[in-house]
Amino acid sequence: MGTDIFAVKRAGATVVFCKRGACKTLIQFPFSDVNAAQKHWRISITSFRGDSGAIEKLRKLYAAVLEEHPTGHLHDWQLFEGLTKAVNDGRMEAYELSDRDKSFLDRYYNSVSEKATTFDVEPAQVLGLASESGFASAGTYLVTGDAFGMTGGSTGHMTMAGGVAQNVEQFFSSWGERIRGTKSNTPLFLNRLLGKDAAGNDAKGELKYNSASPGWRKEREDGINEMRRAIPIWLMLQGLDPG
Amino acid sequence: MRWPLGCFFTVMISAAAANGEPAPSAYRNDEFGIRLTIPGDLRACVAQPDQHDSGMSMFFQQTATCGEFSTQRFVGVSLSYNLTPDTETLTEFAYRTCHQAPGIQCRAAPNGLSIPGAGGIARRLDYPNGWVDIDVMAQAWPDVKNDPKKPFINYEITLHTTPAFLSRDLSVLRKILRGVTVWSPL
Repeated sequence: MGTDIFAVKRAGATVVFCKRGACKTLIQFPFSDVNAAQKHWRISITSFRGDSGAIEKLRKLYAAVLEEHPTGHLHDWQLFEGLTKAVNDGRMEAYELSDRDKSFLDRYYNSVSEKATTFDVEPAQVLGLASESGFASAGTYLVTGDAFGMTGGSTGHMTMAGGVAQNVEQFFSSWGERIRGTKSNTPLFLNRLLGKDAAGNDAKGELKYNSASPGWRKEREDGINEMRRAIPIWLMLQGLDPG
Repeated sequence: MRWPLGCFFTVMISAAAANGEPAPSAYRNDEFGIRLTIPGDLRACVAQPDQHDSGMSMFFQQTATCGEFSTQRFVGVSLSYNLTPDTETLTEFAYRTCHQAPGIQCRAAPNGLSIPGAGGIARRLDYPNGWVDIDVMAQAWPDVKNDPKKPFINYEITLHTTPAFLSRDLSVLRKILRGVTVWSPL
């Protein structure tokens, strides 16, 4: 049975709603801005979707949070409430960590995360580039082992990778300096890869990650957003703090 | 399974010129399963040897710079894997395209625009700066490794033009669409 999870990541707080296996629901509110000793409030509900009491249980839980931290997180709570209603009403499907994404993160997350920290860039941005290869599941990747789309269309120019570690090393050797310091700034990250300056103007003479497909930027934004949804869930499944 | 080397490649094939007009050529991408004819009077930009081939573009100006999409008229081909809820269905794919930048006015495209063999949906996008896109989108081929109920490949063919050239350029888009062939690469 697949993992049925819904997750939203917001600046300053990560919210993870998940439903695992036989309808066991975990709702977790890690408020990263509460204090250094970050607290998690958890509540288990036997069924989430269709559970008319879920919102009330969440409301009581949040009231307890507010009592302890009166500065409150009203904006986030409104988000929780809206999403919870949407899921319960069947207007929004729970976000699912796909087997493909999980398999990709199992193999690539640690290597990319380690190097990304060195280059001061959010790992999801680098991992999102692997949408070029269907997150290491399809196409040219099956020939070359290059998940990041550094591989050309001719066999004479293929970037061949012997494994994940080598592939990650190849990416950061080729493009690491270009993306250094872009943190979570996706427009800047993509501009750097496309050989453009911060304003999006063409920087003459710069190598370009892609210069042929007009949809490349939008497609990579989608890949990065997919990783931003998937990573907190994947981290939680590893027993790590997604906050 | 590893596929044999040389399985994926971009091909541009020139045909003999006829009637004094520039010769058409062809673009073929085996990774995503698409072939199309490039009108001879357009400037084609394909992936460089060290770039992954995920589409190409055909500019109306022979002096156009490859990769400069915002300020030049072109017909572009964008090929991708369907990996996110944002594009899971054709309706969502169209919604995502219509909301790719702030201020876009999105509406129905002219009739009769689709990708042969894949069908699809078409939208007209009016940008605040006056540029117009006619976007033809299609999805095809089941995602057999993850969810066979979902299509795995997104095809997007875009005309980027101005209102003054729209009618003329639209006829070029229709001609290009008629020359498209798609097949399952999976």
